Amino acid sequence: MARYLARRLLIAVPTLLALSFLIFLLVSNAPGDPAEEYARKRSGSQEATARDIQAAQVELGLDRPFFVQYGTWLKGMVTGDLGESFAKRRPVSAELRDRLPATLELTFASLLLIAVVGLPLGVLAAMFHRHWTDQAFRVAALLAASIPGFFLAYMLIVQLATEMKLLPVAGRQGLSSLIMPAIVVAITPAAVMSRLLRASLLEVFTEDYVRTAKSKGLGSLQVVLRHGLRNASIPVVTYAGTVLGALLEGVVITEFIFAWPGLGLLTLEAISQRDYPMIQAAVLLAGAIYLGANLIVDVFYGVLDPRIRLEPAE
Amino acid sequence: MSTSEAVLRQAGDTFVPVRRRIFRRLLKDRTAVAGLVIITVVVLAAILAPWVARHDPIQTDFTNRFQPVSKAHPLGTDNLGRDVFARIVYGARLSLGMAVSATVGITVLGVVLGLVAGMYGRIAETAIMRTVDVLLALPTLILALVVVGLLGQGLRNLIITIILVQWPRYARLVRGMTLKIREQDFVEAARAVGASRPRIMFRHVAPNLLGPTVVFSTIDMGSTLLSVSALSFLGFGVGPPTPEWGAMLAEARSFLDRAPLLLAWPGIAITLMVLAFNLAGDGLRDLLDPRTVESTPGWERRRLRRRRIKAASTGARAGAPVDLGPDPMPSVQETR
Repeated sequence: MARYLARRLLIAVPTLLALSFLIFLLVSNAPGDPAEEYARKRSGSQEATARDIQAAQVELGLDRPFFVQYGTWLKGMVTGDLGESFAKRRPVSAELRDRLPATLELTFASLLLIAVVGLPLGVLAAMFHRHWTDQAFRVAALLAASIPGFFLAYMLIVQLATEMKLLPVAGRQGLSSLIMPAIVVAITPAAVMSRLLRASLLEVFTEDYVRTAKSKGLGSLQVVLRHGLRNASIPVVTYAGTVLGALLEGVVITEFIFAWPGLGLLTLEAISQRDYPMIQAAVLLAGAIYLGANLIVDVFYGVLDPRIRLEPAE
Repeated sequence: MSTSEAVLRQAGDTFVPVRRRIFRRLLKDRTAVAGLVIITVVVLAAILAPWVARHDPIQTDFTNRFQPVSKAHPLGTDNLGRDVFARIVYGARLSLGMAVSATVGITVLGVVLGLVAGMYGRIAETAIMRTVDVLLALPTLILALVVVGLLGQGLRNLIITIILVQWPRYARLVRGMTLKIREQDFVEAARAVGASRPRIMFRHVAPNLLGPTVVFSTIDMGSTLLSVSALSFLGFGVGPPTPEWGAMLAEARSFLDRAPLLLAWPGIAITLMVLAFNLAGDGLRDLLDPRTVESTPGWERRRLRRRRIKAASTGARAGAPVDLGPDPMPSVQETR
């Protein structure tokens, strides 16, 4: 296992390196002058003088050759110095640390909701296979996957916050403010997950051991719980892994609508303020999270199904 | 059946274009038909917008602001007294137009780069496929935001952004098919009579993978529409007063307390269209499954498809080139 992990982490290095280069290249060639932006933000005025801009260029190292700039930046990334945010005038790493709890909270709540709603619906759909309810579940799942998050969010706000005054409209104040964002984030993954579990369970139902379990007199729910779920879990876990990655990277639109101070909103703010160091760090972090989530999923395969061996046979 | 179809069928590819009677079979799938009907109606309404909508979508009328649903204004009027129905109908032109042009762009770029990677190998392949890996390691919405944020707001930039963000999946798919097709006898034969590599690429390989790719992009249309609307909602699309669904929804936010329906109409329009594309795509995917038998009932076909997808997704881990992924459902990062 340790060898497998080491190899996977090594493979991730070139991808991250290429990603960092791409991001740096993209941001460096963006229209607009970061030095001017920086000078303006610092002086707090609309116009920056040519001398201010030049001073900012020297200070930010923008007068040096491209590859020197990239090298310096990369060195900072590796040693944990993510630079200083233009807009917030404080270290990027401190800003990321401040936003992380909100994102973790929303991620946890959404995953819980996805599991609590998606898994039982998947089991039900599989058990009601060939019944009209199965078809109803299918259309419902497709509908849930078709609603844009930004539409659903406002419908929830109108109903639950404005009309019934049950929940706060936006912001992050306690558990009640978590409910609506979590629903918006969870609905599509829950639908997809229920479909995946249903398909996978139907597959497992054709296996011999399920027939054996049935013939020894187990009820159908018992069969599903004892023999079905674990064997059907691989596609579900794969999907859960990608969802986990996506949630940890920050859910931009939902966080924007509910003023949820997580990583997604931070990224959006950084982009709209042209806060280059922040954009670079946030995107690189997103890439790292994606690769990490993939690794976790692959390790999980081995735990769920001992037949899958992570290391090549000797 | 043409030679190319026979070859693809033999190759056991994920999509086998069986043109014969496809349409008639599609019509047997009731949910797919529902999707097709919605798409047809909306597309026709968009094309015939000046005749369908009685009002001008941009003409403001301050004496008639926030009118409720009425005979004169089927969906009421908005904060500037414009007819919402007209704006939805004209908005379909732009929303669907952007989704379609983005899809065409994605397909063209994905096919060209995938073909080059598959046919030329070596440096070209390494460069293209590593770029694909890197781009796929990023959440599409965040990447799109970075690109569109840097390019700036606007219709053209929004479409370019979506193309730049989405092509890698297509390139990966096309490269996989290219690797299979170029090992076929007819390619060998073409090579033997001295056909150049570009000629083989465009005359022999490309026509064989075009069908499956077009089907893939059709299935993908719903999620492309969602991406377009999401970016437009965030303000990176067209500016006012042009009617566009995502932008209309964003504009209606300010009047959420007073007129929640203003926000609901474009929201319903987007949901309905995405749902229609998903329903039709789901049916189309079932139909083109090589293991589908004409007489198989719907539920059985779906089960077979799911089995194939599972095989494909586990197979992909072993390096199998073609993996179409699970249902034509949007992934979480695209719209959240």
